[in-house]
Amino acid sequence: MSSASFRSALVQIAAPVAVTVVLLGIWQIGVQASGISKIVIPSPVQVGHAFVREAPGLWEACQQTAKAAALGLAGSLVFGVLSAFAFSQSRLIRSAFYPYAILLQTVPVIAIAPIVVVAIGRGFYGVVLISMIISTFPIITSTTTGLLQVDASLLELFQLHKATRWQILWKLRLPNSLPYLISGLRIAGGAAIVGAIVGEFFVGSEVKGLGVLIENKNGGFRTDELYATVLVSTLLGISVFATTTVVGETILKYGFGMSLTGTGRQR
Amino acid sequence: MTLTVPQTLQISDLQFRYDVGQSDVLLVPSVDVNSGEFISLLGASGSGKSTLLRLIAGLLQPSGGQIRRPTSAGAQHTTGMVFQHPNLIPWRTARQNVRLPAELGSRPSKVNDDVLDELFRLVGLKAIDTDKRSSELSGGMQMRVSLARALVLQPTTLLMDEPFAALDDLLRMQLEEDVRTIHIQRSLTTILVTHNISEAVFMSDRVLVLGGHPSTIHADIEIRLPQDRDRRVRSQADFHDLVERVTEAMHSAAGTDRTS
Repeated sequence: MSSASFRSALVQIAAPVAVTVVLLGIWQIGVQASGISKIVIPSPVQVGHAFVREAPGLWEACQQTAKAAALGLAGSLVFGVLSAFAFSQSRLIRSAFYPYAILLQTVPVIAIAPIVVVAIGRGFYGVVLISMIISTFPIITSTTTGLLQVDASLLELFQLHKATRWQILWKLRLPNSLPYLISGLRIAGGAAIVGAIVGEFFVGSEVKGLGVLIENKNGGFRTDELYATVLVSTLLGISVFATTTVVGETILKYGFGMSLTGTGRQR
Repeated sequence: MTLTVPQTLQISDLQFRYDVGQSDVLLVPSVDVNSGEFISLLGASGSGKSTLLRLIAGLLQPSGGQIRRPTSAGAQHTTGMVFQHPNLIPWRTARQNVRLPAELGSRPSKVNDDVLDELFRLVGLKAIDTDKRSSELSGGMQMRVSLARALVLQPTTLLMDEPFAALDDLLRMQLEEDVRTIHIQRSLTTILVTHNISEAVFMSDRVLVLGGHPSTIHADIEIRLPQDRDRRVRSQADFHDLVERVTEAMHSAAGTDRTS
């Protein structure tokens, strides 16, 4: 690694860490100086203690939520990519069904939850379904864009050689859509976590996930534990984003010579 | 009944407009491109030279008239094309990019490595670079890969759409010489779109100057220079006279006065 890229990496890591430390410091001093009750706003140290004390329960809830979100994300990946394929192949299909894809994005979870409960009942799979509904739209839109936004002169090359529709899809549109799909997946990963937590909140009383834990802590005035649960939720979201980014970029770079921001270095 | 296969590319009464109801943007009464000829289409921006090339390639359909292309009996592909940008697929290596045209169409074929290696030698690409992806190749190397890709199916006609526009002068002049050599070695019929007058004169047997509204062939200038050309040709008086003549034709086509 060159000294310039090392400095760049250092800045990328050091800057957010420094901001976090400063913000936590201000928070801690502010809570101590004001003498505010920990039921209203706990200090970072109190949240840290709650985190350690509740670690086993938090870990179990985190696993439950991660499992529901992973299944929801897998479902949205399959459904989103298949929908994008259909949208890319026909303007008619796109015009007819795209408004329904937008509906997935705009309809509030609070409105979906009762429908899901009626349809499949309370429980784990209700949470999975809500997570899937919330996370499908980014995959549909980004993959459709990637399948359609193909370099015009590359399309001409394929047309010149009388490529079939399938050859254009398989050899050009599909690989071209990968960076878009992975970008969509990064956003969908976070949305799947949010969907799972909110889903647990509404329909998952039988599921001991983070959503149910948040509801319980909130009801019991255990604000420090509530903050610790929120912290775990955030860390879960960040880890999903980081994992999809690293895995996606690695696949793109070494498997396809592309990057998330473009299609490789051009000189 | 026997089909007559033309030895020349024949354009007659060609008309092109982008939409029904709009006026023609291109009108070409008659042009014959003989087999083995190197033709340059020269003109100002918007003069329709790239449109004419795409009509010849079959990528656009004429609004009227016809284009009869020379074709080998039984041959599926007879046209190779080099685009303005190297236009390589970033997830494929140079070798895989060159192989691509053979994989397309209703009857995909296989091109073995010996044929590809021969092509890479022809276009001047080192063996070590052939397994690199396009992002690892310089602009000049990318253009050589693009040229090899256009030649992989052994076309009879090579179409080039301003392929050297983005390259520096030295590299451009080298590639002009290389393409001219390949054109002769492979007995190609080559049509080059360019806005560079000296490039057109150096590479071509004929220069067609386009201009006007609708655009048409404004001048058809024969280039009487030796078949084999190297950099020394560029310093000959004949070359400069031809450049001067083509420049005059360009001004005339664009309706501009040289003194203005």
